[in-house]
Amino acid sequence: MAKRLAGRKILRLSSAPDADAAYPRGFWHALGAPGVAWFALWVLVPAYTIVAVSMGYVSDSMLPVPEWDPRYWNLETLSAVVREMAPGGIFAKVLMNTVTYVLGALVLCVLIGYPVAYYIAKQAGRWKVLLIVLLTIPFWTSYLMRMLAWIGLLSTDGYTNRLLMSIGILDEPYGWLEGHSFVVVISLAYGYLPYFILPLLASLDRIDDRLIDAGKDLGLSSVQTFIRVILPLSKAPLIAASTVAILPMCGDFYTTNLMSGSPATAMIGNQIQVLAQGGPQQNVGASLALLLQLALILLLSYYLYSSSKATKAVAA
Amino acid sequence: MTNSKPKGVRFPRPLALLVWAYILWNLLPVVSAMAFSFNASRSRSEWHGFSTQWWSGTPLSLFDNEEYTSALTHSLELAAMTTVLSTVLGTLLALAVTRIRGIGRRPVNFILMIPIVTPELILAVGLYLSLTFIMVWPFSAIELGTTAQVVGQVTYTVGFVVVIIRGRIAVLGDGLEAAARDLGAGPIAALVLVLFRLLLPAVLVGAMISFAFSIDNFVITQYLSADSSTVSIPMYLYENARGGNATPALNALATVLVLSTLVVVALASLMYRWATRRESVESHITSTVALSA
Repeated sequence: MAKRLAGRKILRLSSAPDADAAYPRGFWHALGAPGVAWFALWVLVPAYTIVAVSMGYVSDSMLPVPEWDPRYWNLETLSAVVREMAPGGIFAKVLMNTVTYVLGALVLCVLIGYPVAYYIAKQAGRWKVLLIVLLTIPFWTSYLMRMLAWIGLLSTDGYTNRLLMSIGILDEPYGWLEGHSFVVVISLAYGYLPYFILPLLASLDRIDDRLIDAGKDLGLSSVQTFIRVILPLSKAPLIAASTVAILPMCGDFYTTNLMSGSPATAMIGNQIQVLAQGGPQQNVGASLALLLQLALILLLSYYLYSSSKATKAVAA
Repeated sequence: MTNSKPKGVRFPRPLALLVWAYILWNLLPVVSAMAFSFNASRSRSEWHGFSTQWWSGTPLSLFDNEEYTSALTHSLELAAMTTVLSTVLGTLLALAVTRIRGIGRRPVNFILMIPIVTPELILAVGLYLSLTFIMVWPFSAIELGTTAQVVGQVTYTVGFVVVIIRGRIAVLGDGLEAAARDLGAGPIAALVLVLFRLLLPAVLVGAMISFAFSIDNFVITQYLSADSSTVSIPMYLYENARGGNATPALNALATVLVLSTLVVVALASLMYRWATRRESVESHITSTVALSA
């Protein structure tokens, strides 16, 4: 008996460390094949199509023709779009709007989301589970419903105007939904805060309490502990949460359409959405989508670089 | 929980007030919008008393008007197909990425992450352009409308299903499967009878999350739609939210959308807790957060 067990152990050690030797060769690859094929067809090919349409030509009948062969790619549309993004160009306004709205909303996300996440992660005590559940409700509530709710409250005869008039802040109803940039910025922050807060909360929760206690034991005041211990430890989680919020905001077109409806507050998403869906300017729409995706890849690379640097710093 | 003492730096009370204010700011508007579906008048912004006329019984009500019922059925149809496809594909992929060693692992992980980190609009534009410009099967076989919408939704959802199931496989490890084989089970029997059986809760959670994602999906569904017969609930809300013609029945439609998602997600999370009830409390909190993040 002992001999057999020992033999078994040696067998284990000599085979692969995972317990997969029993499966036929290629078994796991075969299981993954349908999914990989799906992603190749519906993610990689579409990504290549965007490039092909952007680098394609316009036919004699004024319709865009994609160029599938990289040897014949035509960079004219792409470079024209880049030129039009410079001040004075036709895309300058949407680019400016996108950058300012996204940054403005991000600042609001940090100002509101960080204290909320910090409190729930570290201070909420017995309320913690309840608060986390309450935070996940807006996360799972349809984004459009959350906007729809505010459209009712902010309409001219809505309860926001009535409340502000009854306490004397406004003399007459204010047209909240009539093309104001600040309403779009607040709406974006409101819409994406649940996506910002939950990952932030998860990583703040993992900050080791002993580090905070150590700071206090070494004579730091509460404020000093916050500035010298907690804030530096929050940097990586804040960058991660900001990335999670920025990515969808950059492709957003519905928030500004619903909460302002004015072309003056259009974002790059509005431009892509209108141009890429048929018509003679699909190559322009595809170029805008390509440029946006490249910008976001840069952002993601920065995030991955900074998080791997942080991991190495912890390991060292 | 185990340690209910506040940790970290003590902050004054206003911070707690901010947290509750944030939560009310998020919940109250939605509750009020739901309440307006019971308004006695046509207004969606001024309360005139309680009535169920916008839910059923009148020609313009949610359950009697063809526009609403068609959006409801179309959304359910899409959700059913998306759930089945993305759960099957997601489960297979999750098993594959956790077990493949060496060549293939990194590229598969990479490709899985693309839809998660790409704005939906760009996924939608790419799918739209490839379905309209490529004349080769299967692109030529799929027309805009229901099939294209399912393809788009599944592509968007599978990555999240994989993340959920892969997390569970990592927690389980491969010890139990190895034990089953030591007790005489063949590799396939060990996989199906032991590993899949243990994974079932995570697979069902993945299915419910796909359902919720599909029902709520707006950008891809709208971009790949064909005509009025392929309008889903979120698309209908978007197109009519600002119109003067919309009645409280629109709020009733939105209420159905919100409640169906919340009920499904709540069931998923309760079921997951029940299935993993012997595991630590700490892992419950992590899984709740991970589920939503």
